[in-house]
Amino acid sequence: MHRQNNKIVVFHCRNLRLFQDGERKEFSMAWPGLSLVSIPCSGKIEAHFLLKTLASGAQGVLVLACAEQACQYLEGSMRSRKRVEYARHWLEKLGIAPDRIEFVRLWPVSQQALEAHLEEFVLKLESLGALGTPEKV
Amino acid sequence: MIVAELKEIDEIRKMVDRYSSILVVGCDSCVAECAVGGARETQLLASALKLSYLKDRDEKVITEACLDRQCVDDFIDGIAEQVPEHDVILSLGCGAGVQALARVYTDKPIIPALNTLFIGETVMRGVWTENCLGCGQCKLGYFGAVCPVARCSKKLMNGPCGGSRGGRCEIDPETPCGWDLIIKRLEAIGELDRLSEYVPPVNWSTSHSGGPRRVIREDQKP
Amino acid sequence: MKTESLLEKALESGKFAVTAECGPPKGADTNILIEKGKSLLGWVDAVNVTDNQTAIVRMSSVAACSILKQLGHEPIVQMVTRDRNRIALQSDLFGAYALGIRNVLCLTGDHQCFGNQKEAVGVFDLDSIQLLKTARDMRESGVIIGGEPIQKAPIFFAGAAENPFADPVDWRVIRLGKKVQAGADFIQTQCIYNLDRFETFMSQARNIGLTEKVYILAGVTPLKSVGMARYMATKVAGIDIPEELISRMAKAPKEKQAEEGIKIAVETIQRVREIPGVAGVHVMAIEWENRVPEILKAAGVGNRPAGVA
Repeated sequence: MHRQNNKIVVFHCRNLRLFQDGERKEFSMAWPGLSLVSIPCSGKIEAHFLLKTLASGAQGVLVLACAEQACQYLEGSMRSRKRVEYARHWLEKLGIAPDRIEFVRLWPVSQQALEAHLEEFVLKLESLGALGTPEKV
Repeated sequence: MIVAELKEIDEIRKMVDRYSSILVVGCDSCVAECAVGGARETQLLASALKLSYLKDRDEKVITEACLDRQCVDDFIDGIAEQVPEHDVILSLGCGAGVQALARVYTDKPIIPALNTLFIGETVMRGVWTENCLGCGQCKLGYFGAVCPVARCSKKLMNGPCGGSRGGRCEIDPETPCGWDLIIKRLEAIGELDRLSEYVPPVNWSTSHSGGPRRVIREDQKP
Repeated sequence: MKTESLLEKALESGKFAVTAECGPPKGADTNILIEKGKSLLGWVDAVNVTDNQTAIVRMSSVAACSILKQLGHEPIVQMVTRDRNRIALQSDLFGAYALGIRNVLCLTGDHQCFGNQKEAVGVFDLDSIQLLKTARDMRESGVIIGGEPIQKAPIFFAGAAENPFADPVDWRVIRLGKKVQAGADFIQTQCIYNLDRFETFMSQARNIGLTEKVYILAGVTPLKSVGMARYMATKVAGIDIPEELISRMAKAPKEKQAEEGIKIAVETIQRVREIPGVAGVHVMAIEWENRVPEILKAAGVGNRPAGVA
């Protein structure tokens, strides 16, 4: 499978409860280059985080949010979607593929679903080539 | 507060391409309130520039800093140590901030990243509107605290023009008619009588028409 | 008579006065202007010359007025405050008067965003009412703004526009009153299509005694087509065209729409003539000046002697 060393950062809402004790480490080990960052709510995400993450060397960023109605802070998951859109818009303006940043409402909420998504994302990033090489937008 | 907007990245790049190290400096006052030049936006612009140059394989040093206020010397000193290490300062301050930096850092090019727009208020998150032109002789007391100079597209002092329709200005249906607001406000506070008087021509000499203005307060001087 | 204006003379005589609008050319061609002027000659008491109407650059109103005067017209120089500050406006008032122009219509002007110079600064140093007061103060007190006396002050018959169809509705008559108070001798209204609303406006004006103090000329613009009607109803600031009028135009076959528009204009003139307080009619036939005589003839407003001897 496509698990090469692709530097990917996943910001995920803590309330998704994707990982039990110890599972996070196990999951990360299976995906070299993957960073899992747990945040209190996806609404905590802001465009400058996302761009900074790419500017610091990541090839792609995923934001995992709860379903809109399921947000513990009511509006967080709605806001994060708008912010991801704003960051993607920025990439477009910069001539960089906006798909390097993705907003995902994982369903079902499971590690398997995340894995499936990551596989797809890695494929996409590979087709784009390394950030900093000419790419088709 | 001062309301501004970010310039297009292409315009910014055209101005800074010639330098190899850029200090991106935000301002955490007015332009932070209007979400365009504060600490967050400084990080955003610095990251965007990094990505933009990375894409072009152009190696540049891009550093970010944010001052509490870019228009006051005491705060401007906050970047004194970083300035000499960079070729240029890219300022996310308003026009006043940019010029204050230039006054302090005399040998450094300062490039504006913003277009400074107006004195306005935050109507709601994400919406800012112009309501003061700094004319130098506030007459809001006569107009129900709605300014005819700033909020009427034609600066009319004696009532709405013939283009006012359904409370909207003739220039754009999204723009409220300033005079409609004035009349409604005065009606609500029972002071509509204020409008029957003829208002003579405005004395613009206290505005920018009188040349660049300054305020000197001896009691405030060191 | 307060002035040498022939328009004032006509209005004072009590006859139903007629003025028409004449738009100067986009350029320096005097022939176009003279042709338009000739077609109106003998049909109107005075001719309004627009001042860069809808913010489109045209021959200066003062220059065009002077040319029309040579032709035998009694010109009304329109002046907008959009493009000139008080120095230029007052200077132009002197200049216009020196050229023999005796009538001025003081306007604020359409915003520059409507024209072909959208990037221009909007001056708006004065508003229309302040310009009106300026012309009046020159005449009554022989002074310019600020009170400085002048030699041989221009004696203008001064007018202003009013739009009975703009909002806030109740404010329109108050504003008319302000214009009268500031010194308006005559008022030319925005084009009238909504006669009901105009009648209400006139009765409000009568109720506070304004029709005793100022001559009101009712604005009429013939519609050329249903397209023009729709365009004016939706795109032109301050125009109110009732839906029934638009459908009346739409029902006419394409080649008959111009005639229908002229018929509507004729009916409008006949109807406003019956409204107490209406002193005359102001026909604004946009790039259609040559059709004005037949409209006036059909409306029974009649031929009149050439303005200037």
